[in-house]
Amino acid sequence: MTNKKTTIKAVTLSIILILISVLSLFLLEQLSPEFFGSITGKLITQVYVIPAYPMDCNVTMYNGQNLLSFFCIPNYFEREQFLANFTGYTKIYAYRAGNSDPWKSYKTNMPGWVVQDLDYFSRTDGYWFFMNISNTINYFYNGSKVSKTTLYLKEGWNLIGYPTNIPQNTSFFLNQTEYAYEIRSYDNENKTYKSYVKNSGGTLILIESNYGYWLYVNQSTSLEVNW
Amino acid sequence: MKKHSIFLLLTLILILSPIAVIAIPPFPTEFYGQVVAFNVLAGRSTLIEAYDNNDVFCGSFSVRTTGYYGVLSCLGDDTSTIEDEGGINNENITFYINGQRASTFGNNNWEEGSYHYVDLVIPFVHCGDGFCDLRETCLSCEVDCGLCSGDISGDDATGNQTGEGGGGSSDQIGEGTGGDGSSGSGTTSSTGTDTSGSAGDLEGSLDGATGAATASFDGTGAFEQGMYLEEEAAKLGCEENWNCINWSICGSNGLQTRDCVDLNDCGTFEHKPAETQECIYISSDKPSCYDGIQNQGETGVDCGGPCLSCSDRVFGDRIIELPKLICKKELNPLKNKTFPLFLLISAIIILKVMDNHRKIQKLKENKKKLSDLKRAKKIFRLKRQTHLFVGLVVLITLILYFFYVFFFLCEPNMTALWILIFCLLITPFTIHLIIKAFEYDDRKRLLKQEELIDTHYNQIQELIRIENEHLAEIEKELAEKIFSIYKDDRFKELLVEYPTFDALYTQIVDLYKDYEDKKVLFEDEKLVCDEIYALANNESFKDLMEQYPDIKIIYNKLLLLYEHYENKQELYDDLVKAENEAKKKIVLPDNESDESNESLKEDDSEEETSE
Repeated sequence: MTNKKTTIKAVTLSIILILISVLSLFLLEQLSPEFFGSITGKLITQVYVIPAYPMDCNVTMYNGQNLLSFFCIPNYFEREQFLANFTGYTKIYAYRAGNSDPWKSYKTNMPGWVVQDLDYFSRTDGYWFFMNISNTINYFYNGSKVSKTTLYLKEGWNLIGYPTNIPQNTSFFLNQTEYAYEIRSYDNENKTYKSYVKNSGGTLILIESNYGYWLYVNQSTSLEVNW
Repeated sequence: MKKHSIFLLLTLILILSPIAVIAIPPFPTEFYGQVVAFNVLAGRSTLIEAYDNNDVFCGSFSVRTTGYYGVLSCLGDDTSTIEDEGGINNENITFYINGQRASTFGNNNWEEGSYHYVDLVIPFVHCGDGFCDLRETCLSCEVDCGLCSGDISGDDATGNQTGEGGGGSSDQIGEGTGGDGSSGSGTTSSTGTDTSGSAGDLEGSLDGATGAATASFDGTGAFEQGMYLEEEAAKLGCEENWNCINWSICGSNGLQTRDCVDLNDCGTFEHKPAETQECIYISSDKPSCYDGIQNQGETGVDCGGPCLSCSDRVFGDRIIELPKLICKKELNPLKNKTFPLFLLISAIIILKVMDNHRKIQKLKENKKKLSDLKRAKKIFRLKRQTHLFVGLVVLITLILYFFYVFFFLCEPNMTALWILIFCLLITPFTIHLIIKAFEYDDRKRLLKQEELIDTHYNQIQELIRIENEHLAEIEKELAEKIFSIYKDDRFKELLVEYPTFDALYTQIVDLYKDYEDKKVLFEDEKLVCDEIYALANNESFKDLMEQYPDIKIIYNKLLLLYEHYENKQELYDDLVKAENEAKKKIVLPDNESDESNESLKEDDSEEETSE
């Protein structure tokens, strides 16, 4: 009997102690956050600096139209700066779904007053390049590697880039989002389309870097591509 | 046959429906050119809209450079749907300037992926509308543009003027003056000059005028004109003066935009600032130290309060960009590099448990030949040691782990701090409970002893009861036997001769009565025993027993009785002993219990040292 009483006393005491401690810490944090911070620890900011490392940022383009993407560039890269290395192109198209004017284009030799609405390039976008020659271009951008990139997809067709140089199985890529329906790429050399329909299959079995992709989604969503 | 066809068609639709192909959006047609409204170059923000033949909107553009538009993307039709979403190849596109239909000069056909130069003019161009429009000249429309000056008058000019006049009247007046028109044409062809040719083109255009998009205008020429204007502006030394509005809020795509306008309207874009830039997108529902807003108790924008102090952020006149906080609290030991610690702790625990288990097994096998009590004590101690070790190591590890997570891994997470506090507070209590649960408790031992004593006492009492019953039977038999020989006259003399025998008989009869009444009379029994003992030592009684076998039987029974009396006496002695023990142990004061515990512990330690 005495033993039981002692246990109850100990439990009650412990609960009271816990409550008092939590309450006092909460009050201390409210009244003097700095002092609280000094006794409980300070903000430690860890910045992981990932050095830029060289990689193969070459892209081969063929005479005629080419559906491409550029994984070595950031989310935003000035058009003039980016195109400085490119030759042989006549016009370029991007399709940014969700806008009233989704097609963004750039054409060479246009009058200065023409507003060319393709004003930047992004690794998340796919691009149609119309070429009058075939060549391989190095577009290496001296930036840092990103661990993952989010692709924001709108309902309907989206012209996306593949922002990594690690190939992925198409079905695995599509299965990342339940809303994906179909994906298409373009064989720049043979000028033919390849397609893959979710849960049905198709000729496009691998998602690779340097290619742009038409992706159809039933509902707006986002998709993360890890590096 | 017809039924069959319908059936086949339906089957085909059913088969093909699951693999319906969704068409990729076609490339748009990009339109660009000059915009003239009421004989003046259209100003900024003038809205240009494009529609297909079915009046379906296909694109728009807001003029940014006075007098020019483009590129205006006119979207194409999705051929996989029934609806008309935009242009199809060779479809005429109609343009509207601020809602007013415009005349087009250039190729206004929709053509996938093409760039078309088309000049736009409002009001709708026709000679005689009072405006000398973009493509009207004094030569082509004297009514609107007036007479040509003397410089261009000459033979050709005259001829042209004549011809044009004829043409004009032909259009305007119609059938009645048709003859003039033919004469005009004749004159034009006879001159054969560039100017007249141009006029002739325009005339043709106006003839079909109703159709704004006839292929009468040479687009290249207009393009050259545009280039000329640009070069001209540059030559004049127009200095660009760009004025930009504030950046928009950062979008979820990590970009923000702004609009820039050249206040000098040079028409050149050499020094145009960027209208789009990268930014860090912060969800608006969560205030942070990077949202560019003074919120969540910050003393400045994104500094002070929960963020870094404002003094830390300012270096001279410049605000230092804060590094992105990418440290994330990760409780999963597999991810936060503490897994080896847990592995090590687990290994230690397993080793200790295995070692103690081995020792216990050895003790159970009794290789050391210990007494049962000592062996039990040692096993108990080992078990207690194992449980305590495991409990303590696990608790200490958890405390250390939580301490590491909360205070060393990034910033302290106050929302979950209570877990750590709870662990810290619960630890001593838990340890206390573990010790208590596995402690050698003297009270428990005493209680068990009490139980045993009680059982023993009850058993003795039960034995005494059985013995009493047995005695009663023997005494009854004896009494009956003695009573039977009482009746015999021969024994009357004997009883007189042996008064002890008579007394014995009386006592046995009394005792029997007492046993029947469940009375316990130790003293009486003792007296009977003494009498029996006296008889046994009497030599003459022994002779008597030789003479009378009945007496001998009685005597033997008396001896048996004596023996039972003795047994009973022993049982009573045991009972008294048990009673005394119970009295001594049951009422054990607290101090005494503690002392006994202490003594036990001492015993344990002594044993350990001896080991």
